[in-house]
Amino acid sequence: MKTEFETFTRQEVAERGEAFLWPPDPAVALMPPSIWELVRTHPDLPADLPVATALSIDGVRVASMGLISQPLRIGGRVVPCLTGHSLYSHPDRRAGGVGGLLLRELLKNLAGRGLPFSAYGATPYANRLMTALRMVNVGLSPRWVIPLRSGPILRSRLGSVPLARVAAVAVDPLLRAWSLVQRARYRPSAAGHALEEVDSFAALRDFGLPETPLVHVRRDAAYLDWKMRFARHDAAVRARAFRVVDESGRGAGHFLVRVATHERVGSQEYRDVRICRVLDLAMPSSADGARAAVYHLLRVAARERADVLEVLTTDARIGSACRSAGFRRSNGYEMLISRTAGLPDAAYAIDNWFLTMVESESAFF
Amino acid sequence: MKTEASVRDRVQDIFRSVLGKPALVVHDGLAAKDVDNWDSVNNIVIVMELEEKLGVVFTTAELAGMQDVGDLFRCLASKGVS
Repeated sequence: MKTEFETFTRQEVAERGEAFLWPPDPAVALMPPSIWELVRTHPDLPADLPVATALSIDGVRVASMGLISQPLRIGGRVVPCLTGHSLYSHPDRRAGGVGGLLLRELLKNLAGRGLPFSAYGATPYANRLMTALRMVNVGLSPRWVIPLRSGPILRSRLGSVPLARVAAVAVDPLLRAWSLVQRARYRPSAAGHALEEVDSFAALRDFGLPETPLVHVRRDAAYLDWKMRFARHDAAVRARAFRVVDESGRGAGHFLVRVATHERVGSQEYRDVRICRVLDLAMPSSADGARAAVYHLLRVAARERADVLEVLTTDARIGSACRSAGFRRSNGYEMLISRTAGLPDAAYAIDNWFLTMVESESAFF
Repeated sequence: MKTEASVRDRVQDIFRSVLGKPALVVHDGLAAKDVDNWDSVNNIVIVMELEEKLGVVFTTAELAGMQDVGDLFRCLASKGVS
C-alpha cells in the first residue's frame, strides 16, 4: 500500500486550477471554493505557508483539508499558526479513519517546521480526534443566547411547524414586549458609547489592539476586513460591521455581526430560523461599555428580524450584561492547539481565554 | 528483546483500556467491526498509545494497510517488537 502526504502553497493551488479545489471529482478534491477565496484574499499570508493538505492512498486522494493562517498573539509576540477548514474524506473511505491519518501526518509535518496547528469550535468527534492526537484544549469562548421570537423554542418544543406558527401568534407579542423592556433597561447613559455602522475597515484602524498577557488570535483592520469578506462570500449571509465610539467620538471598539438562516446554535439544529451571531466583539471592558454592547446588539438583532441572538465572548462584563438581559449561557467554542516546540508555554495554559471571537465558519469536520 | 507474551499482554491492555472493554481478548482475527466502540477516533487513540508505550513509530502506509490485529502484530514484529 502506497501513501502520499502533500501540502500545497497558495501558488501551487493556483497553478493547478479550479478543478483542483473541490468535487464533483472527489479524486481531485482539495478545498471548497469558499475556503480558496478565503485563502486567496488573505491580507498577509506568507507565501511559504501551506494552504491545503492532502493524503493519497494508492494514487487516490482520500482526504484533504484547507489551511488558514491565523497567527496567535502571545504576550505581544506574534506566532504563526495554521487552523484547519473543511476536512474532506473520500466517500468510499468515510468512517475509515483517513481524516485522522491526514491530521496525524499534518501535525507531524507542521511540528517539524515549528508551526502549531489550532482548531476552534470543533465538533465533538473532531474534538476527540484532536485530543487523541495530543492537541491541548486551551480555552473556551462562552456562548450567550437569547430568543427574540418564539419560533425556535416553539418548534423544538412542539415538534411541528404549523402548530408552532399558531402558538407564535399568542406568544410573540409577549416576547416582543419583554424584549422592549430589556432594551429599555439596557439603554446606555447619554455619556455612554454610541454605534456607527461602517462599510470600510479603514474606520477601525485607529483602534489599537489591547495589550494583554493572554493569548489571542491576531486582530487588526486588514484581518477583520478579510474576515468580513469571507462572511459576505455567501449570498445567503448578511454581514455587518459596527464601530463603537465613546462620548468624544473616538473609536472605542467594534463588532461584526452575521445574520443567516439554517444555522446551528449549540447542539440545537435550527431550520428556517434567522440567527444573528456576533462574530467578533472588541469593547472596553467596563460595565457601561458592556451594557452599551448588549443594548446595541439587541437593537441590531431586532432590526434584522432575527429569531435568535447569539454572542460569543470571553469578556466577563459582557457576559454579565448578557446574563442580566436574559441571555442563557450555552456551551461555548473550545480551542485546541497542537504541541509545538517554540510555542510559548502560555499558549497551553488551560482556561487561557481568548479575547477574539471565534468564527462560525471555522467549525470544520 | 520483549517476549511475545509480554507484547501481546501490553497490546491487549491498551485495547482494553482505550475501548473500555476489560474482558476483551485480543487475537489475530480481531478487527474494528468486531468491537462496537472501536471507531476511527479510538483507532487513532490506540495507535498513539501503542507508539508511546511500545516505543515504535508507525508510518501512514502501515496504518492504512492494517485490517486486523494480526496485521498489527506482523507490523510490530517487523520493527523488532515481538
